[in-house]
Amino acid sequence: MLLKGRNDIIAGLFLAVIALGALFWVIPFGIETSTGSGGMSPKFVPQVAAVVVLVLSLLLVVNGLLQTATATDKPETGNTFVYAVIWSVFCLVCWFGLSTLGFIVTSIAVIAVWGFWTGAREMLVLAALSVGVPIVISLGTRFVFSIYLP
Amino acid sequence: MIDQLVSGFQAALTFYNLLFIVAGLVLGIVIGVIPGLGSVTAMAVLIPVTFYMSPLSAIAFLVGVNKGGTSGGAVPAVLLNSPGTPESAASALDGYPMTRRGEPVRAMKFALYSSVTGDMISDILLILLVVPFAAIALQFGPLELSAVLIFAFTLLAGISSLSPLKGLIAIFGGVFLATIGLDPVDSTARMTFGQIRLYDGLSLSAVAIGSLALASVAGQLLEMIGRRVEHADGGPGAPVKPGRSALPVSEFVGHWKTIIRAALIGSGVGMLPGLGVTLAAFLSYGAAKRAADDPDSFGTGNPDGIIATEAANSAVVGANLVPAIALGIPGNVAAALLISAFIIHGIVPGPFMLTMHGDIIYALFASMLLANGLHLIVGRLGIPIWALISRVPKHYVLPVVVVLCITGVYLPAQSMFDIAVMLAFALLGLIMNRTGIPVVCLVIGFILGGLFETSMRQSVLLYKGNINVIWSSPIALVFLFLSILVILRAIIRSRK
Repeated sequence: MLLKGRNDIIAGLFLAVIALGALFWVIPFGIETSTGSGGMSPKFVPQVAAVVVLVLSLLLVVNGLLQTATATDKPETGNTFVYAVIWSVFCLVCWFGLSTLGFIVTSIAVIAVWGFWTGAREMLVLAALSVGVPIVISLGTRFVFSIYLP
Repeated sequence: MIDQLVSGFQAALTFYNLLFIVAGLVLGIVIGVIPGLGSVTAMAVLIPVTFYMSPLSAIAFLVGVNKGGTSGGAVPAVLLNSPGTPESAASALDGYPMTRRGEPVRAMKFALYSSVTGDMISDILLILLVVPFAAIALQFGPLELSAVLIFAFTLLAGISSLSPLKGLIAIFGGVFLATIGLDPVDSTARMTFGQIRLYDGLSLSAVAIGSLALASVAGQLLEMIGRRVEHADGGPGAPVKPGRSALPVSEFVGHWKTIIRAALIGSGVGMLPGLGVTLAAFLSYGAAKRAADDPDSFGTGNPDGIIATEAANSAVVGANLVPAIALGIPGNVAAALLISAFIIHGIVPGPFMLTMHGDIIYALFASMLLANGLHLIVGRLGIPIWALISRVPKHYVLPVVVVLCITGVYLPAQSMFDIAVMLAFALLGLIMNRTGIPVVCLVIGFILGGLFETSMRQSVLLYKGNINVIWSSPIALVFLFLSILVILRAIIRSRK
């Protein structure tokens, strides 16, 4: 049986792990002072926020488990995972491209690849757009704001 | 107030200010007419451009973008049955049938005139109400402000998503992210891990653009992969019989009951945090249908359907600045972005805004009123152009928006680190959108997190940690009680 609450269970567990990571690693090692001036530690609000997220995430998991008995609709978690992976790869490539090849080359590739991948088949339009837009933006920021893009 | 408004008009009536308003309107409409984008995306992408403007021009420009973006969504709704923005969805119900019977221009005129009128009524309400609201807010100490913020958080969580749990998780996630950087009391570095770039916290524009604009674009791009491009019914080449295009003012004014009802619904919704523009549009559409003599005509091309939707969704634009200016609490995500623009330009939102930056605020009000007149002119002249733009396929537009997001985030600090933050938040926003966790709550939690922490810590300092002091503050008690009610109501509703 497919579970309606599967998305909630996965999201809740994922968030709970992040909240635990924040409570036991990020906050203790990321904030040095334990007691701040005036009686309230700088850790207090981050800890409260992390604890609230942890508790609510666990409630989300419980909520998801309670939904499973009756629901039969198809979960979308698989798609979400694939999308997240594709986007992460894009982010890394884009970041690497911007750092090494620069804005114009990376932007040409971004527009051309995404455009073609999502269904653009008029090659002349796509070529004009992917070359023209980055150059116009780059020249615009250079001459209007005096800022050189990477 | 009249004197200040006159001074505001004097400050606002400059060539550059008017130029920026027109530019904002045009960009807002252009982005709004492209299905899938909207005023929020437009504002998020364009905020960095305002860094180089004066505070007044910047805010006036963004107000123009917001107004244009909100009304622009009606164009594809009317012409293509494909709303550019969710809040324009109800406009398609009657706008598209009007197009099919050969009255597309008339339908777009109804949408534009209603939008401008609703916006004008809402702006007037804003000007009249913001001072009394701010006067009340000035009575608030840190304890009361903390309670108001808790109320805003619960209201936002309870209403902005189907699950209040997810809304609260997103808000407190945003609050947590807002604590990164130097501590506001003793300047201890928090969660920076030696990164000097994080001492000022995460860049607001990187977080907002990444999680709102880029995440939405990423979601649409990924959905489009491998799918055949669909043309909306009534797209280019669809046969449309020529019909009436004229819309005399007297005919439009004849719908005054619907206009005023819609503007008041939109304004009311706009003043409450978290309710959103889409809700205003559908509430107003439903109210107009219930009040009509011939409710069955709704959905078949009744102009009242367009008027009710467009006047209400545009009325939210002005009204959501009431809590934003008076309390520093944004009514919706567009107001949150405007608040971030205020902060970026050194104006701290809240009740002191009127006393410390009264000149700018009244010039902003004047700019908003001027923007309505300009909106009417720009919108009316541009009807044929907007119709063309709305037919540009998304696979050409969305990749360009990705590049614009990268440029927009890089411009303010010329930081590759900010681009990395934006890309990471786009991933986060993408996952949140797909799992039903409201990104809007995360962004508003992030924007208000600093204020929440400061007011809480001031309360602890002031009252030496004595929690019983809550019983001595009726305002705090009322807002905490309301917060509990909102949460209980949301839990009961989600169980049904």
